[in-house]
Amino acid sequence: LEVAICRSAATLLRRGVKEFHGYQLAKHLGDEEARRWLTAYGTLYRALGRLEDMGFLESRWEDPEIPARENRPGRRLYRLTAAGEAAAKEARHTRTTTVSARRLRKPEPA
Amino acid sequence: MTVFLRIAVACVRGWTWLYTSGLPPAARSARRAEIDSDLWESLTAQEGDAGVEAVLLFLRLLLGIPDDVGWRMEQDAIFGSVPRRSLTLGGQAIGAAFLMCATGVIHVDANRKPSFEPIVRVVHRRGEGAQPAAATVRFDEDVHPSGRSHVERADRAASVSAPTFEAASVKPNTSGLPNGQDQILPGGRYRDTNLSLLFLIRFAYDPSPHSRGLAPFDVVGGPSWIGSDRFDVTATAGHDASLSEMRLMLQALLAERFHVQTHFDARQMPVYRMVLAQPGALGAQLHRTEADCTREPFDPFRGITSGESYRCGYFGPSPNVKMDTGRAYQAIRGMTIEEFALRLHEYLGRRVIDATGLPGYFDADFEFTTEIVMPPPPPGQPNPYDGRVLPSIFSVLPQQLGLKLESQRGPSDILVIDHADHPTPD
Repeated sequence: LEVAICRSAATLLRRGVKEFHGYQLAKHLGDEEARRWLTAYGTLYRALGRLEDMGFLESRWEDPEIPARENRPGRRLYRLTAAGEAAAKEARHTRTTTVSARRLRKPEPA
Repeated sequence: MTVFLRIAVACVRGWTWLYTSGLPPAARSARRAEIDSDLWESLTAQEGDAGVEAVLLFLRLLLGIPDDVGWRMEQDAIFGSVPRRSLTLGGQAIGAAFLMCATGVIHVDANRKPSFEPIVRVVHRRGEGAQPAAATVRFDEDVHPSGRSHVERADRAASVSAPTFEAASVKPNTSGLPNGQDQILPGGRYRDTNLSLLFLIRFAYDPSPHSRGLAPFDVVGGPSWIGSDRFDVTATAGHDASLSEMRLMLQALLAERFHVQTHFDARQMPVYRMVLAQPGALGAQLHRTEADCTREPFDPFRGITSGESYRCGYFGPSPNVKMDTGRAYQAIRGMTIEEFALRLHEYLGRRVIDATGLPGYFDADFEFTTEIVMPPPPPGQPNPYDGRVLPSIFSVLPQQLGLKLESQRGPSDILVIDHADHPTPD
């Protein structure tokens, strides 16, 4: 799933979507696989947390004025880091569709 | 919202409340808020049968429970909670979750304002000094405030307290003139003259801050008159507004006056991938920008104005046009390759995806092509391209800019117009 998330995030980035929220990503993952059911809540957000811990994603909460104005809950927005982009690129070059998440290794601290 | 959907939402929120209980406030509230947000987005985007949606929500909940429990145990390890509590949490929480489902309890946090049941629609009233007034629409009410009996997804999304114009006027234009124009003016004013509803939709629903509107082939559906009947629209926000805000306000106006309902549909379409013609080499007429364009906002409404030069974010005829010498070029100034690729979309009929990996901002001048033709020169000026066979962009880009377009298939969002009516009178 982590690989699929990085690839999806990279696809969104190429389409001009630099930041995305959890549902947006789940929808994109579902659309890419042409399935209606979305990645489970627990699975999705645990994976997003792991990717953030590994340095492949960064997140921030949107400006609280925006959801207040639009009368909706605030969104946690994720964005792909340079390390995440590199991981997504590596994943794209991988022919097999069953890439293990173990391929994504935590980058060494600078 | 149906009772099944209501119960599904209650279960998701109840379960989230349970497995986050006892965590430090920051971790607890962050997870709850994120799930709340996800639920809200799901319900707003709901487009199918409510019963099916409820089942899908249940599936998302149930399949994720092992990960929720695992996540909670990780949090316990991080924050030093009691291990025994972690081990027994799963069983306790599952039982309690089912109990909460049965009772249909929804409230997670008494201090949080309800976010699923009431959806506030701001109804703007025209007139000086008029303030937005709020009305309430509920998901389980299938009645629109305007009196229509069907409320579809896009209309609901558009009615979620989107920013609205303070005052607006929509009038049919029966002049029969072929040309129209739209303008964004200081003070959050929008004015269009003699434009079709289709044009307004393409502008209003374009999610990209880098373009003037969706390309014609990016929009499908709707009655035939939306491309032929013309309208004059004048609207003001009453304050300065960004391009994104103007688009949201126009969406709200179109939803109210034309009853426009839309949704985006991701489809596999032919696209172009922009790459370097020769790895590591830029074309002779593509240069890095000297100006610091990271500080200058990109404005897709910029045009060329006599006596002015735009260092950043410009895409149009070259400011160095010399009509009398027979030389004229299309230009970009202070634009990223990604933005440049986006701008080619409308000329090529396909989305262009930047795969060059080139960071930073660029200037370029390149010949007009069969796809990007030179706009007519001012009256009395000769057109240097009259009678000339223009080259194709597929040869100009590699030769002059060192960029190549490769055809392939890829995801592309299509805007589907589900519904539109003739406008209600002012």
